Amino acid sequence: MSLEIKNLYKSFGQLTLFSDFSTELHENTITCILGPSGCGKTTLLNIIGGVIKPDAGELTGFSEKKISYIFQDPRLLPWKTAAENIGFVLDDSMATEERNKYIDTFINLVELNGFADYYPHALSGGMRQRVSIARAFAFRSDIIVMDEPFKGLDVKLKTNLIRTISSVWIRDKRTVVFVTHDVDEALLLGNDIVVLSQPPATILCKVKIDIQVSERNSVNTELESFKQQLLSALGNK
Amino acid sequence: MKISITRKQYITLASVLFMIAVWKLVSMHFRSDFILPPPEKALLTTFNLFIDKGFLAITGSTILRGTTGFMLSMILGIGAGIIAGVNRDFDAFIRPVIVTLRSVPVISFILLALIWLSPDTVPVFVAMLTMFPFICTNVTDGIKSVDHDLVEMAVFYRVKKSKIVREVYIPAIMPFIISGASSAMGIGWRAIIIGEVLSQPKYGIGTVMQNAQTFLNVDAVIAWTIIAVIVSYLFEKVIRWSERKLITWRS
Repeated sequence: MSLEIKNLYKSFGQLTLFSDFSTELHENTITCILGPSGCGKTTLLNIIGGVIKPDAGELTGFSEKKISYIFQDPRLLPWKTAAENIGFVLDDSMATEERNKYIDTFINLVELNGFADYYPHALSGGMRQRVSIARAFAFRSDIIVMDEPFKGLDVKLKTNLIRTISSVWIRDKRTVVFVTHDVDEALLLGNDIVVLSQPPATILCKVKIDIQVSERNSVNTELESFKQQLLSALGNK
Repeated sequence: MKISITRKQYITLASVLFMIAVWKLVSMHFRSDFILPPPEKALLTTFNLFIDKGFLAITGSTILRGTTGFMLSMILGIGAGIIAGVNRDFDAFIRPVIVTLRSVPVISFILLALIWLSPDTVPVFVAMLTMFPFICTNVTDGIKSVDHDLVEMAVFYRVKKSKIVREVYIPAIMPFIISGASSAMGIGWRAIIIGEVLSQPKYGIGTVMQNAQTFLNVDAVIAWTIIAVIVSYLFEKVIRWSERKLITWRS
């Protein structure tokens, strides 16, 4: 079963972000929503997450779904260690030992072995974002929502984090909705890419990429043709 | 462990020696213990006070009053501060009360309390009223400073409300509570001693200071002052120590 957004309407005062907008999100897929800043991407995520109510419209398949978030900034509690930050969002019912093991698994998955007991201030920006990725995957959710998680990071760090996310994602292939304004990020991580226009949002183009994340690089010709397709949809050369 | 003395510590030491030298010079000029005894005499008196049998009862009573006043103002200040931090209306309501408490001279509280209360409770009451505003405003500021993004994160992950209070709000306001407690203590000790000077409870540093002054025992006045400073300093240390224990996450 897939997740559907049907005839969505949402305005903030004079600004109409969505007017009769519909799209479909495939489960167990990384869907990337690509669009210029201010096109309502974050609002769409918040509507999916149930944090903002739409003015009208129907969301099917989302009710009762648990959602994890990866934000642009890591949003870690400064008074909790990396492991405690992950533990913070977990259900308290798990036995301590089992819980610690479970947390450790995710610490290792994001390649932070040995940093479990570090406080955020002692970690680099990239490492902090890794903790927030581990937190999102450790939380037993049905959907992971990512709002520009690589904004402001350099290309090398960005590529590393994308590889990490992809390697953690492979384990259970959870449904991911990933929002960005950066074409290269979309190409590196997305399975389905949906390009949104300036508000009110319409879908300018849809792309499906079946290449393994580890094989996506700048010399891949297939990826290059997708890139041209996305850029022209966004109106860039 | 190697003990090294920094440049700053040398300067601090020089400053202390300078103050004692000035004291010594002034006392040599007057050459009268009734006006200003020399530092060595005052220090000897202080030392003798420590081994005096009344010392514990006197100092203990003052400390007890101080901690009682402090605890009461902590309870009231944290309570009112939290409510003001989450409720704008209460914040607007409590603000004039705090401004009033802050601007009323301490001596007015004492004079009024002398009419209303027993000598033992006057200093406690006065200390509570002077400390309360510091703690209350700090807690309110602390709550207002809580990072909204962190709360949003916790709400998005459906963390229980009680857990959000315990693990997001309380740790966030802890540094504010401690700095409030620290400034409150600084002011509080002075208020306690002035209160004791005027209300004359049976035991108290203020009581003995007043008596010493009456009999022109200037060295005793100074000696008790030194003890009051030590008490205040020790409590400041306790607060700093608990700060390190409670806030381990800061570098």
